[in-house]
Amino acid sequence: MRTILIIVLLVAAMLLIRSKAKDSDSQRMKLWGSAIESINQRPWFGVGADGFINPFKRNYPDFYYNEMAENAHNDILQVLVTCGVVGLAIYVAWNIKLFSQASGPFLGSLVAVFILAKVNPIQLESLVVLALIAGIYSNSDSMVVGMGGRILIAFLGVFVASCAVQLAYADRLAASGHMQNACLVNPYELDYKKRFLIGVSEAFNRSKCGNAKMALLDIAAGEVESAKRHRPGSEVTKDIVDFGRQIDALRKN
Amino acid sequence: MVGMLALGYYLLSAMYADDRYLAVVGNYNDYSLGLLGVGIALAFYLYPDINIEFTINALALGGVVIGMIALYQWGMIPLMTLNGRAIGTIGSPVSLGVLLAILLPIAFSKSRIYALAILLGILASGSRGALLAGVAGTMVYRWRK
Repeated sequence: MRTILIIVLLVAAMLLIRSKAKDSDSQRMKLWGSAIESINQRPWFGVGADGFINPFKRNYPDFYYNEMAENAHNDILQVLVTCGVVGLAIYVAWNIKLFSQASGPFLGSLVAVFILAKVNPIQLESLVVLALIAGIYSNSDSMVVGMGGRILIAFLGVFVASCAVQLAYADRLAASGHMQNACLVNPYELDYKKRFLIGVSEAFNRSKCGNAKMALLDIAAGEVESAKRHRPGSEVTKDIVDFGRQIDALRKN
Repeated sequence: MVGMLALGYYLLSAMYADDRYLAVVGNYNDYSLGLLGVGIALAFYLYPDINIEFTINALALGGVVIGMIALYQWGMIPLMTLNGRAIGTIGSPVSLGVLLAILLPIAFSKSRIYALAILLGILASGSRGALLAGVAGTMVYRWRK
């Protein structure tokens, strides 16, 4: 068994090293470059949790958008961009605490996460779960929460569950093509608004009735206002606001 | 204590974020990345008396199943791969590699056959970082055992 494992490992290593991954490597360089620029702009408290995409879009407006641009692909840079130097200090302290507590196979998992986090996006919640399991495995009682904490977490759980139901319902509406209803259920999701506005503009071009065209423009203007109100800090809102200017021009005509 | 401090700071950072919705919910189609995902993970704190052996077995067997699905996709269903890389049950070869690398030391602690299945899954995901990290984690586990 040991020989088979070693042979598979060597073959896997050879195949993966020979694979063409230059594109993703050059994209990583761009992400890291943008991260450093963003840290210089907001060093102490960062741009906010999970907000890497906004400074990246500012620094590289012409970069073809893909999922890779949503994360710095390096945990240190990601924490620095989103939570700043203060957040990094806490993150490092947390990592030290985790490593000192973990033992057995969970220590191996933590080492794997530590290495992976330097080149890949690591989801925070997987770290939280791992921290919990590592704490239990080391027979430490530091992870056990008192009754007050449990009640607080139970409230958080109810809040999270209601959010999740709302998100899932809006997603279902969007998947079945009811974009306006999806926008009503979840007015914060700009992807719905963009898809809805594209649908409105197609209907506008097809329509021959002047009154119907004006009604469509009113609906579209309402969604543009909603985007400005609900997601003022998003870069995507700027695209929608540009679309709103075109609507205003059409209304005046 | 440090974990709670980290979570508290994460909440504060979300409150003062450029884009609060993104901080709480995460990106569209990837909602698990925001505070929502952290909240779901926190639900685990409600059950501090988890049976550790059961947890290890569940994680190891889950890894084996995911690894085998990835291998099947890679070999049999090219349409379910992304640029020739298996996406597993997660939908992304990168996330698949991360998950399998984390599970490799845990599976190795139970059985080498489990570890082999996960290793093949990492190969199917085409993630070099995951292979390096998974093997390094397993070696540390063996060394400290």
